[in-house]
Amino acid sequence: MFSCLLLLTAFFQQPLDDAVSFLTWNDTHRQTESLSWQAFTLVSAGAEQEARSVIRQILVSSPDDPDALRYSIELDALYPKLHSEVLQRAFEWRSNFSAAQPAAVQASVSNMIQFLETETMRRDQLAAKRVLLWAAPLLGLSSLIGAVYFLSRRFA
Amino acid sequence: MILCAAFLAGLAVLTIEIVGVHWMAPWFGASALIWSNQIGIILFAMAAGGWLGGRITRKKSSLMPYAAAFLLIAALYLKMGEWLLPSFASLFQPEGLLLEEAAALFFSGSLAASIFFFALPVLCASLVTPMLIHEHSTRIGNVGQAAGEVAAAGTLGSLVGVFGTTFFLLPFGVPSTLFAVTLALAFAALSLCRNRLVLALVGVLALTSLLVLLYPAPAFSDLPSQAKLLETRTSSYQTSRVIEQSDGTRWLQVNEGLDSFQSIWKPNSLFPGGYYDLFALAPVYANARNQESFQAWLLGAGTASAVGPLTFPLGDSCKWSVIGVELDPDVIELGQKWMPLPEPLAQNYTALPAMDARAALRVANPNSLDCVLLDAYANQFEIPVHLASVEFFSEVASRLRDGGVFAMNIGAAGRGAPFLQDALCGTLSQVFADLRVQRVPWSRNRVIFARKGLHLPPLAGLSALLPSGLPASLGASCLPGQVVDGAPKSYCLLLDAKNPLISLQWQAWWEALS
Repeated sequence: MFSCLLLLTAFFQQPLDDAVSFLTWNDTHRQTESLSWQAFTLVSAGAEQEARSVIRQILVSSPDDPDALRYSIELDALYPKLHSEVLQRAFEWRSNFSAAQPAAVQASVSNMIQFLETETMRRDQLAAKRVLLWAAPLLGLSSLIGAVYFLSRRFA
Repeated sequence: MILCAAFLAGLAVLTIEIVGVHWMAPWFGASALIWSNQIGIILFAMAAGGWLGGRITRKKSSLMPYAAAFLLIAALYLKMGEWLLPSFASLFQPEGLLLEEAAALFFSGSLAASIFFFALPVLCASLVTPMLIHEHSTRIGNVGQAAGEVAAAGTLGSLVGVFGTTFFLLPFGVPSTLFAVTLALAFAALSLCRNRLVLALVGVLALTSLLVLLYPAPAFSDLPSQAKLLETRTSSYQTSRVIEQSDGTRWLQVNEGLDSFQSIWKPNSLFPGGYYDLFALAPVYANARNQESFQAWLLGAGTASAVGPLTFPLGDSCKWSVIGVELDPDVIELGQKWMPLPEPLAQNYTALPAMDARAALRVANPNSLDCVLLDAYANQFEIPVHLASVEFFSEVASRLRDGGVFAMNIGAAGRGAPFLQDALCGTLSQVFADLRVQRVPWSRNRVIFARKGLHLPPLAGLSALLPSGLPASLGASCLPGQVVDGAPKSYCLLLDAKNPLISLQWQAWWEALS
């Protein structure tokens, strides 16, 4: 009886309510849920590795699944080095799937694209600073040695 | 007056060396590599100045006007640098720079800043030494004695500079310290010579000082977008500031800040987010949830962000106490003012200010603690090496009871991160019976848990041990894909006598612009 009540309680709890409900869901219900719901819940909670595994399973059977592709974009957007590639995928997703999606999802993807565009531009500007890494200290050292040489000649 | 000038020049050199790093810290931090840059450039400038000064004494007969002029040039250059350095440093900190992108820029930027802004004043202050020796030896008739007396005076000045800067000047702020250095150099110059050139330079220096006072350069790096600055303080340790985000969340940031924080506070929530939430697992893993009493220490407590999550799982009737060790008293004060603990928690929390974590922990009774948390990052990038060795972990274990848990936050990005993690885990495995690394969702951080004498609870069935109300993301961090259990197969052992932690950490962070 007690275990039934416990299961019922767990059933009516949303997996993202707290850590206990999430882990209970993962232990007892996850395998019976649709892959799409699993992916959504895992991505929302931040369980990256498990989420990627589920997304891979979805994409094997449905390579054009819009939700799986979107979750994949969201996860890869966490890694700055992937931003350029992720931005491209986000554009492709928007042109292929956006029209059929709810407004909230469309807005979410648009925000993601805006963020990735800003980040890509920022990283390009940052990469342009690479020359500063060696030029500034070199220029400084040259100037300092030049000043010492000049002063030694001036006062010698 | 010659020895007085030598004393003041020595004082100026060491003060510039120390204040220079603090001055650059809001942009580049104050890590070991930044200090190395600064000390290296200062030493080079001292060597070059000494050599140059010697050459000047060969050719010039009346040296004191030159010595005075060089001291004033040093002061003037320093004053101009006070105005120019913020703009220069900002070149190396583009908008939106992330901590994980910053390492190479910080190293290069601080090296360049040291060369451009500190080398010349130190060179000028150093090249007067041979002139002073020459002049003094002419007066007393003995070169060796003159050299010894001038060297002694200069070194004493440096000694006063070291202690005076740290304990008396820096608490008043970097501008006040720079003003003191400028005064010292000006006084040294006037003690040597008061001809028209020297007086004219003093006039220019006074005018420049006034202009810098009236039109100060911006002193701190940019705030994150939509954030509001609540308060800034400078101490001998670092520059700290509290900022408030648009949702009411407050961050305590130190030095260069960027997208990183030293402490977080959320209104009306015990869970600040990030790796702090995972500290709630420590009492669970220590099987302390249903105990009548609970004792824990936080090493690197900051504003006590970890107290809420750490004590949340404890029973209502549990009598608990947490002691937090924090090196910088300003951080504690800022926390009490802007990021306070709720009253029930504040009553059972004690902050120990101005204490090193390792030294403070020795005060705890052996085998008395249920948990020890370590979150002591110096300068954003670095776990202090004396807090990451077999010897230190053994000291921690000696204070924990059997079954007690040590938890440690590590933050790293890039290819070197696994080496850093393996080194820490491997070293911990020499002392603790079991350990586990859990990835913090949406973050570059990991939390390492290590248990004394007993195994950590298995992940399967962990939900039965947790209280309700913990963030769902904490549950996510307990999934097998987010966890690494046990010690690594190969690792670099960290010892007090041999600890490559600094290079491992910089290896982990050195991923700037690729």
